[in-house]
Amino acid sequence: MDDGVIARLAPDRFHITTTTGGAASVLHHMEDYLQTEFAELRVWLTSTTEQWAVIAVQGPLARQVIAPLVTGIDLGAAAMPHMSVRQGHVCDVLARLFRVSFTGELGYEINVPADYGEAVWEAVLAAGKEYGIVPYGTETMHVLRAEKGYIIVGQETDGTVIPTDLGLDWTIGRAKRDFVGRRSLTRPGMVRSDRKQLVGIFSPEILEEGAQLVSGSNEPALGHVTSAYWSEALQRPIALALVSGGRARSGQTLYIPLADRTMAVRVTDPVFYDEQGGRLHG
Amino acid sequence: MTNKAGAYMVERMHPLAALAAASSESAEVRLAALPTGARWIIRGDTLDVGLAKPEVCRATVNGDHALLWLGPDEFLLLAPQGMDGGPIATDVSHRDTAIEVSGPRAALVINAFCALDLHAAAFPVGMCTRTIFAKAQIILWRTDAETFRIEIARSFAPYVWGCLEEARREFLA
Repeated sequence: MDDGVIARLAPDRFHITTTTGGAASVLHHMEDYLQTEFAELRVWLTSTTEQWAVIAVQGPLARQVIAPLVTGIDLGAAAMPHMSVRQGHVCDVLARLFRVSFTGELGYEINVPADYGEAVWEAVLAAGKEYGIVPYGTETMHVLRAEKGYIIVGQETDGTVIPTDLGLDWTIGRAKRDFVGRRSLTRPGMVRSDRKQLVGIFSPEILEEGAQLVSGSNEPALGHVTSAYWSEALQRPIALALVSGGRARSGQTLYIPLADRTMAVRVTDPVFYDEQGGRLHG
Repeated sequence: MTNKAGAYMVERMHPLAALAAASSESAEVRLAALPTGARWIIRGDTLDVGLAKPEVCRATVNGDHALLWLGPDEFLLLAPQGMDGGPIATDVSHRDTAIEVSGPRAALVINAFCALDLHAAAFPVGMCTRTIFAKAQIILWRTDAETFRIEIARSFAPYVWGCLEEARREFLA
């Protein structure tokens, strides 16, 4: 239904982020389960969407840019690795600093109380000026995340897609006694090898999102293109697609029927850039 | 990494500062953007904040501290800056902001966008409730016979402020 980041601030306290438009429905969903399925739990939810202003500082120089603004937090790669959270001060304001990345680059998300948001934004811009810092928008973010094979829920997924299809098995806590959806993951239809799986596509030109993929003429569609962009980092068009048995097709040529011609494309791994994660973990 | 504490001091900005500065006086109904303060949502059945547990839809006041009943296990603690709400509290000081509506026409103006019966018999001093104002969710608290405090999420605050300005336009000097 949505994606986000769960940060554990204390043994009994979590800070959960969602997509911007998904916060209300995720909160309602959790409240619903709390009241109907897990009523025995002494757990309470409070919306803090408007409490925090969040500034994403992303790129290989992100640490240098924010370091002069941060106090009380060791930003070193070993002390604060990817997917960690620390509490300290940014611009002398009490802050929750997340080391997270939807760009594939070294990055931080600075959470400060909202009345300080604009002023801290200006301070980050000023601190980054000597490094050539620029604000980036969602289109840039979409390209950067696609180069890393990071999905957007609702774009790479619909209600039929499960984590295994996306190569996101690591998100499933299989050691847990139970969790919502556990039973579904082992149903015969969920473990078939011909399920649609997330793949990367190399194409000679930028594809249309929604384009169908086939293995040859008069063959049924194997899947469709979910995202397609010009990749500045790779200097070529890239796409993400859901393709039946897709992971086993890496290296294969598939075809996209268009109105006036047929285009040959190549199936590849969905991680196009920095496959080893050196930039992410830098 | 060398951190330079104090090198980048920033100022806190009130979400309604610009609108409040441009607002006109009216003896019939006054609007005020209340100063920033501390707010905590307190959940659960243990209240350890030095204030008596309020009755349903009522607020307990002690000096400049107030505890508002929002639900059977949910309370809003209002306090000056720098207060700690305890282990089961969540700081929402910046999530919401407060608008005070006061004067003989205060209830009338609020009723332009809120369907609650604000007659003193139905909504006496000390009563508070979560309700709907136009298209926004608010907490409405009657702090005095002719004074109401509206707690509103920061992103909805300019909208609610604008509605209140519209409703009180006929009472401007």
